[in-house]
Amino acid sequence: MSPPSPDPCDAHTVGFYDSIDQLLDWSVRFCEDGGRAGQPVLVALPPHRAAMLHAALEDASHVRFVAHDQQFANPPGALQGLLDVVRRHTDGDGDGPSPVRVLGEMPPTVGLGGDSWLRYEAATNQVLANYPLRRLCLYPTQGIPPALRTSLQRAHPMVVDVGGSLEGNPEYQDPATFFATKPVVRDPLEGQPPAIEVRDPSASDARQAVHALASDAGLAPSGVDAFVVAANEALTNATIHGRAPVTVRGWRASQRAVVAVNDTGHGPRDPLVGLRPASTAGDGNGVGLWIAHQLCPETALSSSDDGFTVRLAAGNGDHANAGMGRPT
Amino acid sequence: MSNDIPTDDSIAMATADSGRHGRWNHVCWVYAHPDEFRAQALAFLRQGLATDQRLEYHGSGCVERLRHELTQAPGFAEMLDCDALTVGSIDDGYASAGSRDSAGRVAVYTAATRAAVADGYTGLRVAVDATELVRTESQREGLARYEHLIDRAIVGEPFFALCGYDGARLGIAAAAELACLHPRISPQAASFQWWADSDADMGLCGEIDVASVELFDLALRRTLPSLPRGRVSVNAHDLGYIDHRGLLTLERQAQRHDQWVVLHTDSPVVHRLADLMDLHAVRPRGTP
Repeated sequence: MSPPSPDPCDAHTVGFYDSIDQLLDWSVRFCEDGGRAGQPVLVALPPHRAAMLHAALEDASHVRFVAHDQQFANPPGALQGLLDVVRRHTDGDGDGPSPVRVLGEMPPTVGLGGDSWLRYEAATNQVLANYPLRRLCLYPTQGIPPALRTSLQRAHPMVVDVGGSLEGNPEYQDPATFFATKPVVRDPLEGQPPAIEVRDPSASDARQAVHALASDAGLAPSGVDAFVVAANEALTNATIHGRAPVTVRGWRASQRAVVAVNDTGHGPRDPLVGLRPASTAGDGNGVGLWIAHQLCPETALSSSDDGFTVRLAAGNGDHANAGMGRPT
Repeated sequence: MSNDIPTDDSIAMATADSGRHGRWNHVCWVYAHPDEFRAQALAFLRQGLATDQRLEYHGSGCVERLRHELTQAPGFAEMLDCDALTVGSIDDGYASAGSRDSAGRVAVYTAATRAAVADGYTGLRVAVDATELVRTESQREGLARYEHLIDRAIVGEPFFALCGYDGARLGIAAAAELACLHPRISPQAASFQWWADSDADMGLCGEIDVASVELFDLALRRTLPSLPRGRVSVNAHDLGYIDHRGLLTLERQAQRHDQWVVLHTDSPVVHRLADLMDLHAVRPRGTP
């Protein structure tokens, strides 16, 4: 398939809403504009908001509502979902590409999820460039730290202005610039002395330590297992692709566990690693971090003078709310 | 997932349940000093002595020295001159069990086990230090296939084997190539075990990760060709951990041999990983 290019990536818009009324106002306008242009609209809102939008629309025949928690279960899944939308609408009936609108309220990402969803936003500018998509990403104004809001804004070529109109974003950064300057997102728990700190551990020893950490934090057994797998993949990635020494640190609080795996290398060349669908057919590079993102949506990647660090967090303890805020 | 590798530092523990033929009657002991293996072998054979089994003791070097080792332990000296106990040197032809005639050696032991029963014994129990049979890679290749074949052949048979390998002489990695093909092993002899299970075609336990995935690949290359094409059931209920590389290795080797693996496990993570990677030749079954 040769991607058509009627609508470049500048159709990727962010809106920071102050109230539910504002969210609905922008959403109705986005859907109705699509209806007038003959463009289908895909909506991923939490159920109660979706019901309110549906009731507010005079004609919802061109609007399809999808399960919000499935569309935004994790960043690579969300990216794959968008790619599926593209393929359905550009390959489906053989009549050529037709622009598609996608409206989504970003999930109530917290803590390190601020980093993974931030990278997701920037990644879509590269992966979906030149596809006929018009996307509106909605975030609550309240609860988002100013630095994170600034970064989110830089990841979108367009913004919703105070009047609800879409306009170009002078703060936008192309993906290469964005990833090169992206700030390091840390979990507040990292301000405490780590509960575990081991250098060059075996994978088995690291899993055992992370398992104990997450269990002691009170996470559910299924959450503990998924967290251990994600940590194992981060450590394996550091062992194979990074540079020794590799250090694993862990912090915990009630219902919250954080692990940071650091190596002294430069990190992966591909800034989209972990987000882009990875192939298991070749050498398997990238699959581990892709799995980590699937099993642990709060996954943050960063390169700094200290090397490359994969941060993972699980649980919904009080510390989790210090990152990106929940929608109002 | 739990870490449940069935290792013990006691042969008596390893083979106490002699009624469960097939899971625990094939033991591997990787030792650091010959005296350690001799002690384990004597303990192993003593269990056979107590349960009226015919015994065999094999090692490298001259037979007289091997016989002398046995006479140092009470209860064996008086058996040396009757058919209840055979002592042999692997230097005198046991090597055929390795690279040249694995299937033939398996047939010999299967027949010997039945002969022992026919002669009034409750079974056959063999302790062998096979270190000198696996000094080279090709020898390990051959004996690994033999270990797998004998492992499958003795499921349900009153045959008990203790295989010793000198970890200091072979190296831990080389010894692990053989150890991982046993249902029961000495501590840290291998990080995982892949054996012929009595409830499935194969059993898999232990941990498979970046440190052991190459050994897992080697074990599969050496064993899957002898299993039938099509469905291969694997008891993985005691599998402590397998990462995505391990699952991919299993997928690729199964596909290479026209097989598909039913992996019996209740681990939600294994089911999730298989789903994420869209595996076709590895199909987890169980309650995730």
